[in-house]
Amino acid sequence: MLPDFEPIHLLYLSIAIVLEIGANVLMKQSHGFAYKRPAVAAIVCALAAFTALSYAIRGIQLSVAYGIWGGVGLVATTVLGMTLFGERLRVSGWVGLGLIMLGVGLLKFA
Amino acid sequence: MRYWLFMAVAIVTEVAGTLAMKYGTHHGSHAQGLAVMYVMLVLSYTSLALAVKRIPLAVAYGAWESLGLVLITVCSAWLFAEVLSPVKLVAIALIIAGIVLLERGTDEAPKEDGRAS
Repeated sequence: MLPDFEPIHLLYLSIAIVLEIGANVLMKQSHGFAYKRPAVAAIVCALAAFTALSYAIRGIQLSVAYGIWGGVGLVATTVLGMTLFGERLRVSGWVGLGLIMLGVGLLKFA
Repeated sequence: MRYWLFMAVAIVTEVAGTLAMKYGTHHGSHAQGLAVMYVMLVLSYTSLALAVKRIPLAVAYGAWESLGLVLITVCSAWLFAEVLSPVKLVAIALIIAGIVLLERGTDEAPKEDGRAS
């Protein structure tokens, strides 16, 4: 955390994560950008996510914010993939999920 | 091979865009940093879309996110003097290993009557 960290920066990071999850789901629905409308919506969501991230890094180191953003976003996207798209995790997938959560936890307290 | 070149372009432009955003936020003008970032990210997503014509989406997305994370961490330490503590390095290594395992260990849903492409 940077010296001028305030709770508002965590809020910006949360907004960035929510937008990133939206972008991932839309990207999935574009089937590798084959469908133009979700693809464009995904890019707009991602640009908004990065904009929120740019406010978060006023109080949180970029490497920490980016790690948490990527890790939490991916875990949430996986859970959504399971519930919305019926994806299944093999054992290695669950191990990966655990490692990401462990890494994000460590990063937050490093 | 050409598709991995698109993949590399996607990663480099994403990292450049994120670093421009960071530079704009702390050193220059926030709006200018964002403008550079927007251009880079659109290039990055376009390039990623071209790459996933051949490379499976799960592999591409995992590579994009994990290599991006490594490069951004290294470049932040180098350009912006962010501290790379051992704990932080271990944490980032764990996240990258996790991203790769998660991408490899996820099965697509079985296709329904060939309706979805």
